[in-house]
Amino acid sequence: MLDFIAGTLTGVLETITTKPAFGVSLTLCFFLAAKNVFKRYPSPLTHPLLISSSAIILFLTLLDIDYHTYQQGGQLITFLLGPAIVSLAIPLYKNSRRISQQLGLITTSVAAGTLTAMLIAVLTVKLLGGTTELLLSMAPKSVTTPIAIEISRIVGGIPSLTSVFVVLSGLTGAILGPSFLYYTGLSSPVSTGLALGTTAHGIGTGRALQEGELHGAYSGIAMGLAGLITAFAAPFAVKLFSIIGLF
Amino acid sequence: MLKGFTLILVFQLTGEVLVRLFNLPIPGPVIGLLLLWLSLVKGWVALIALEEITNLLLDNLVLLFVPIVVGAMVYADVLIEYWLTLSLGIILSTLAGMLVTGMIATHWKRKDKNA
Repeated sequence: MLDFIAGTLTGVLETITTKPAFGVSLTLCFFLAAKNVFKRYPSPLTHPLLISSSAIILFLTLLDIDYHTYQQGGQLITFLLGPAIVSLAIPLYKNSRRISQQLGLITTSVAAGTLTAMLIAVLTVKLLGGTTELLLSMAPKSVTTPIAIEISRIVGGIPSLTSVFVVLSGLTGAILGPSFLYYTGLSSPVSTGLALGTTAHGIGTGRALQEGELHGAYSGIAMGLAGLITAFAAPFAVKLFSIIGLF
Repeated sequence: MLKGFTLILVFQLTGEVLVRLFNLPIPGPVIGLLLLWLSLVKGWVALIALEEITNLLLDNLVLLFVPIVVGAMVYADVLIEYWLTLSLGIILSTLAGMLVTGMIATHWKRKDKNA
């Protein structure tokens, strides 16, 4: 009798998990729950992305469900990243006036910060003995996830690893950034906004908005520009790194 | 909504085609972003046709990363083996990038004021 029940349950579980709707609904359920956790306890450490993806990993591991089974539905959600990247044109367009008024300041500071972060990340991992795969996955990690993932694919990194580095960079920037900028005397709204957006993308922009509307606006601009600059510069930077023997 | 989504997909595909044609090492959707930005600035595309779908996508952007982050479970052994190297790389690079961006932004502002 018990065997029969166990057998039936396993059968039902298998039927459910092999449908694409499983991955989609699992992701949505955990994400909505994680958003509620964040609403109640707002902190960079309770970021919905961190909570929901850890919970899903735990769920899949406990029920012994293969990652590729989950991805049948997961990839339907991932598909929307392309349209989401294109949609980033709208906030950039809305900020076009601010950008054109301070074009030199914004592009120079964002480009320099982006390239510095990329170089230091790659150098540190190289000096501490990381593999080439890790270096390549690390290179685009400062920019917004959809763009970083695409770049990682192009330069030969592992997109999933890159996505983890992106999230961790965002959390680092959001947690350490404001006080770091305060102690270094760089905490004007323009400086804080641009620095957070350049190195900590969307998570940093969320943090910048808590400091003020103006901080948030500059952070949003920096996040978009850093993504564009990295998309154009990363393949050449990677080529340069390989010429000077970093890989 | 449907019209906006179609427009977005057409821009994305145009980007992908250009990337393929010119063999560019740049993500197709990024080219789509630039083309859409240009079209908005030039007034070829109206913002109103797009905002419903782009708001939906951007308001829930974080959701779209979840399956990719879950993919890291496959690389758990790499992450555990190199956790210190990776943490240092992430912390140092993030602070260095902030310092450089912040210093240029702050210095530039002073220069503007003096001018």
